[in-house]
Amino acid sequence: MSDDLTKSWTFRRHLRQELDLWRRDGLIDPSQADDLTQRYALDSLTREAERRFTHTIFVIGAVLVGIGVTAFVAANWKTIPVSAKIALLYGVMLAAHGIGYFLWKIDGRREHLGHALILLGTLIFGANIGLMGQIYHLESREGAAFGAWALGALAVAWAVSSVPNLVVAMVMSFVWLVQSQEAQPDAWTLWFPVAATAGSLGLSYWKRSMFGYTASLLMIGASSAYVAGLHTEKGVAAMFAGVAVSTAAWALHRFHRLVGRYESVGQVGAGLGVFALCVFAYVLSFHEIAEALYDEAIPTFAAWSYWSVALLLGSMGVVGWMIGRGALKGYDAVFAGTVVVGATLLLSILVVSPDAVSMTIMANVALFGFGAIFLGGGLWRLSRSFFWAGVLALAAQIASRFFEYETGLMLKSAVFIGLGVIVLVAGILFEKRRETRHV
Amino acid sequence: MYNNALKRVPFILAVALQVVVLAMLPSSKYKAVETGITVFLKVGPVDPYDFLSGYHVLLDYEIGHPEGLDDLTDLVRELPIFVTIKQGDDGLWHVARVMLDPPELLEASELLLRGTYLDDRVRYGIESYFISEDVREEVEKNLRENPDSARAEVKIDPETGIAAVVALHIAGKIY
Repeated sequence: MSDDLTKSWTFRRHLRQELDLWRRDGLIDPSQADDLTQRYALDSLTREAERRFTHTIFVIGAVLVGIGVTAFVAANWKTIPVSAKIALLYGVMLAAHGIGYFLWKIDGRREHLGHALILLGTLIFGANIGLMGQIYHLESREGAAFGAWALGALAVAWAVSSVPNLVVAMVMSFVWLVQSQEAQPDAWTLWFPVAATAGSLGLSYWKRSMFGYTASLLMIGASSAYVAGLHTEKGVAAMFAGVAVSTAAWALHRFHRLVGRYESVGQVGAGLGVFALCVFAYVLSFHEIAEALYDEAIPTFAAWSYWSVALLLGSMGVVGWMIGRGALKGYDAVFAGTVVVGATLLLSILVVSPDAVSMTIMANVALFGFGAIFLGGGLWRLSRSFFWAGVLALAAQIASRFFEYETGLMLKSAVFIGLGVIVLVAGILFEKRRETRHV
Repeated sequence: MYNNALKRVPFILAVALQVVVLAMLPSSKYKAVETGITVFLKVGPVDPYDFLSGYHVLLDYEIGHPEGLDDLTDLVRELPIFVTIKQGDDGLWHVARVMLDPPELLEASELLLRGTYLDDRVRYGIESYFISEDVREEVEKNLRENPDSARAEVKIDPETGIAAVVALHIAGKIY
């Protein structure tokens, strides 16, 4: 069994449901069913589901206790002597970490409770930073407290391979990045997205965590766009970085599919990447925005852009490699081609800045391409998610273009009704088609 | 046995890092608090809230706006500023000299303070004062009704010029 499939809980859950039907309909005999059950460890699914649920409950509990501790700190209790306060804050933090590590890594019988306690220890660490600030009346200038919290959380995340601790580190480091840049940006911020990629994406790969991987991509995208905008003071640069990260998120997943590793880990991230490209295309498809961007020419390519350009070159490399290996066929080839052309059109708008009319047309072509490829994928593969994504994108484009240039209420009413009817009819026809194909 | 112990090292180091970070945060203030010279400075409040650490007042010190600051050239954000203070007849300490480099000699009656130029004033790292939730409203009311009576009790390390605020006195009450 491939490693990815072992981890794909959704796939195994569906397989177990199907297996019962196949056995009942006589498609496979009991020994084959047993082989498949053993191969995909289907017997342990119920136990795994319970463990996942328990883990989630423990994490939620740890977060709630952490918030409670923070609020307790914020109450600024004055009656306890300073030395007792310091002993208490160290004691509670070390106890949470120590007991958590024992339960998870040494005793091993309360793995999820132990993990939740280690997360609680990191949350208490953050609360303690605030408490130290209170005791010594320290100033939390330039978000240094959040930076310190992120550092401690990242160290624990890597030490015990903990995705919840990693998420704390990601959120706190982003807050630190934003808060530390009050005046002119520091040069180190240019390295932040690179460090975020190494620190967060690396651990997510190691843990094969789809949640961690997706959260990492969101943080990398947000920080790349923020840093590009910060160093250039231009929204067009932030958009350029956003398009670059979105394209790379999709390309990375294609790479995983091709090599047959980490495919399920990057699935949601790739979807988010293409969704983000659609959002960029939608935003740029408005004539007024195109005019504003035309006035705001992209700044000279300098240090702010190296990271984005590296991601784009990497994405192009992946696509080129796929073409070279003949790995793109049928709908996959059309989809990949549309993403590449769409992303190129968006980048051309941002980099070349042709006249506003051409920019609007290019963005609309890209948006139409994305909508059409989703709709086509839905009809071809009878996939509901693709179908409705395509319908939504095209309906939003048509409605937006119409209302951008037409203001008559009667006509607006007619267009809304017409679009609604088209969507409803398309949905009914699509579902009928699925039924006739027994999907 | 040896392998099991080795596996625990990364976690122990990570937790040790958290402990060190906590210890490092107030390190510059320890010496001032423990062995510093106590002075009283005139203050007025600026802003009453901080997200991470609960309620506090941002104190705007009289010594934050020293005479002669505007005479200094090349003032840029985050520039280190050195100030000497002397005790006045009112018992409070006021600015005597302001300069860009530490003075080679101090008068016997002078104390050195190390500050930073920020937002058109000198800040000394003593501008935040946390107040407990139960007296927050009382402090705000007292500050509003007695704007000229607020004094900060500050300890200053005479060797480094680093200061730490230890109490806030308003209209005869200590917070």
